Amino acid sequence: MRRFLRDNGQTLAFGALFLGALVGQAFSGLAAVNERNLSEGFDPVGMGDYLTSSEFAVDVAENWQSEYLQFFLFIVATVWLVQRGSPESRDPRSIGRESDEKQQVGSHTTTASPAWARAGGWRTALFSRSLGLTMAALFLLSWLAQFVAGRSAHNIERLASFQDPVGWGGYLTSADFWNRSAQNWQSEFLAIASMTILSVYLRERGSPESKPVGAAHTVTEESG
Amino acid sequence: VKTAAWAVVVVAALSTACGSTSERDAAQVAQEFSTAVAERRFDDACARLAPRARDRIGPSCAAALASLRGGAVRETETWGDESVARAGEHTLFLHEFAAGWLVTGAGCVSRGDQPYQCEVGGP
Repeated sequence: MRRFLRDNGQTLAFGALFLGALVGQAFSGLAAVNERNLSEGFDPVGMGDYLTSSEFAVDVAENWQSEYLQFFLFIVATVWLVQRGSPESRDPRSIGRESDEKQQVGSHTTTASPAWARAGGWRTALFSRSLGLTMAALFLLSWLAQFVAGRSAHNIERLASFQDPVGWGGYLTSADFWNRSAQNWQSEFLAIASMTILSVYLRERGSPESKPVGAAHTVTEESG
Repeated sequence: VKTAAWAVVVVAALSTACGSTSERDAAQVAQEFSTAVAERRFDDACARLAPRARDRIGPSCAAALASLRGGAVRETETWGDESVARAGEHTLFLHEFAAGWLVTGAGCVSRGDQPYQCEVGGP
């Protein structure tokens, strides 16, 4: 048990932080909704109603989609884009998908290689891109959820303000949909850009996201 | 697990968007209000007004509703606890309170991108 906790510490700790933050969002979001309901002369809503509301769903989904977009772009773009000196980057001399030998596929697999890496053909091709494709699928699913829940939340707001609800097309071109999307995207892209460039010049001893403390600023593709 | 979590989010979002029982209830209250106005039963109509709309029309609710025209509700659209109903040439807005649906705006006419202008209640 202890060994399991140690070996899976990252996933478990961040999973627990995720749940804790989601609970915090639920309580603070409910309080915000009920403050507004009170000011408009409406009845307060309970936690059950808030958790199944489109307002809660869109607030969750808009953040999820941007995180998955961030990781999808970071995973795929860093195959070709480099940043000299950053541990987040490939070495500028090895841009691209790399040789079968370096990627341990084709005749270079071992008995410990995953089954689909050894299978060859479409299965190996698909497995070779499975991380990026999964992140892309999760991004599209969560963006779709943001769109569906966002239209509902937006129409509730519009009706409460004595305005007509909007259709799918109207919401697709609405300021609300693109504002929710862009405000989350900009923070993710800023985080990637700053992490990449700051890790060229700054160090965190022992972190795999950092180069060794004594490594030169010009050294790329090395973690410590 | 992630797929299941997303299924929950999508189903929750869709179910919020299509509350059929809620829509029927909102349509029924809109029709009751509109019929009461058409038949000049103003006390019945006033009983279906939301507190804020009622507070704004002063001591004589019946007098404030006298200029409204009733009519058959031909269309309703409900999102969460808000609903809009078209009756005759006018539009009604409703909100679902703990006690049920009540009219927040009546005799409303569109002003394009601006909020509707209502004879009773409204923005």
